[in-house]
Amino acid sequence: MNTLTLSRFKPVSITANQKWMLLITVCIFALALLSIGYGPAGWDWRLAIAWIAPEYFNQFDALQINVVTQIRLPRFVLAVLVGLVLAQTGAATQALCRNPLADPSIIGISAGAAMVAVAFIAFSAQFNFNAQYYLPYAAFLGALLVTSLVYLIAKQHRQVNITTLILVGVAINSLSFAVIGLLSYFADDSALRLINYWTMGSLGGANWDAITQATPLLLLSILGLWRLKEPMNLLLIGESQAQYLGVNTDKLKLYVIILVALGVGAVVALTGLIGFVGLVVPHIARLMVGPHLRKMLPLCMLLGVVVLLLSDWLARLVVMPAELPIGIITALLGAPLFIYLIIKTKRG
Amino acid sequence: MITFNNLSVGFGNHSVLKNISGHIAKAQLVALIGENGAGKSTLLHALAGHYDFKGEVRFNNYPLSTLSQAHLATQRAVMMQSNLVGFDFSVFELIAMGRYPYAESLKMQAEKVHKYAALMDLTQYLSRRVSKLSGGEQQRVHMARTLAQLDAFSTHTKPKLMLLDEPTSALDMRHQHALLSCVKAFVEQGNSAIIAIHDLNLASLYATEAILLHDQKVLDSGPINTVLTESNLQQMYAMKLHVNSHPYNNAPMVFSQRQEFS
Repeated sequence: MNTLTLSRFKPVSITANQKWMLLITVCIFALALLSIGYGPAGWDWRLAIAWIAPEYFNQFDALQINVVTQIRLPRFVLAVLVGLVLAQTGAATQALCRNPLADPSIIGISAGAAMVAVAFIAFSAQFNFNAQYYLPYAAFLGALLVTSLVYLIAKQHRQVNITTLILVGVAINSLSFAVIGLLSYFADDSALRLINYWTMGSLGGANWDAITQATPLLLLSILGLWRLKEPMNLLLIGESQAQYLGVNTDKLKLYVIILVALGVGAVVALTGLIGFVGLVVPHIARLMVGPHLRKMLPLCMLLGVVVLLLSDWLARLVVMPAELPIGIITALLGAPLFIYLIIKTKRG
Repeated sequence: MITFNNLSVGFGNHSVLKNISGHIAKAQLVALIGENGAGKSTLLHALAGHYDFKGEVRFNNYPLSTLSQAHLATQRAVMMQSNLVGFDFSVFELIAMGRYPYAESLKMQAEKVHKYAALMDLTQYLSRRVSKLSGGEQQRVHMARTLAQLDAFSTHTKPKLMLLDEPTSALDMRHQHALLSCVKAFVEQGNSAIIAIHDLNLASLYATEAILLHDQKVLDSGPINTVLTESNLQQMYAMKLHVNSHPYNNAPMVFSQRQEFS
């Protein structure tokens, strides 16, 4: 029999990357307890686990358990999905534009999705069908339409001109908001409320049905972009360089655009416009572990979940029992932090 | 190795190269010489398959358009002039990108990175951010990535091609010679390299052939000691200069004259 050799046990060394991942995972668990355990219907962290086996938690009544499973849990799941998608599509758009300040909301994808979705809501009342059900697909179509349009205009000499891409995005943004404003004149009261809630962004509409509908789109976007992280990483050093290293850049950019449109479209349909997540989260992740997508992307996505859970919790806490639109919180947290980051990078 | 026939490249109405032809054979180190804007980088990009061009480029006898980017990436590597890195990668990460065309383990990748970083004198910089390095050091990082992409110093059966755009422009004298001797060693294994370069004397010491680009055309090409002549160079640069030979190896050495400001 072999003797036991201690040399088999190497000292455990933790890289900076693993350290951050660990920290963020702990944060997500803590935020899960907060997010599910705390709210107007009950203020106890044990609610976060009571729904799994209600018979062991006699202190909670059936209504409270119901609130958790039908309101807080779907809201938590939605926050996780939206956090993953917004952070990842942000990072992907930055790779596509080769600009750390790019974001789906900058090149017009979110606004395009919102425009088509709002048109869909406004007209659905006239034609008497349930807009809510098809909303993710309408928003995806809007996102795809706008992105393809922007891409085609910006494409010249086999390459996408980034400056044009961003400028056209700016134009599309203003056009979308003008159209949304115009459409709200034609909308009835209930549609108007929906439109209003949307331009501010909120996770308040979370329910299992909506999540189940949008999940295929969200998962496709998450898994698709995840698979492309290595070639996208090469885009960061320049398109011609990526080509010389064997990447079919035209095909890659097309895939990235479709997958970003899928994710952003579905998120906009579910929650409306939540800004700054796709801009700030990848930035923070890069400051932690550098720009390499193999290291940065997993961290970035988990960090997106943290930001979404935290912002949603704050949105519910600040004016309880009412709630603020989450878009206000992400902007209030995100914008100053982003300005600080810019100043810091400039000085550093 | 690589042949181009009646190659023309233009951007919009502006023509950069007009009907140029040439052939680069195995084991040749070709210096691409010309004034600023003569089209050296454009020719390199076209030979790499990046630009739309009229005419024909054949790589190892296959038309360039029939070869996939993925295949080309294992056979030729390109080091470009404006290597601005907007995202701040570490030296290790940037060199490792050269290994993207190959499906290999991260451990194998790290071995190659260390091997070619050592050749470019970069071992102690591997964990540093590229933006924290000087211009010359950054140039060496990109060279190490190019060497890693072709796995330049390993036994391979097919000859490979390196296209380098002013790889020595920011280097000190010692590193200029280190880099060019490295390319020379690569070529002597049966590979080829084309180097766009302004330093004629450096080119003369290492290159076997030269192509002079002037006025959208090839002014002259062939063995470097027959191309670097006073008449060729005076026509190209439109100034007086002298060509002498190197005291130790007879390579042509070019001496310019002080000019009066006018």
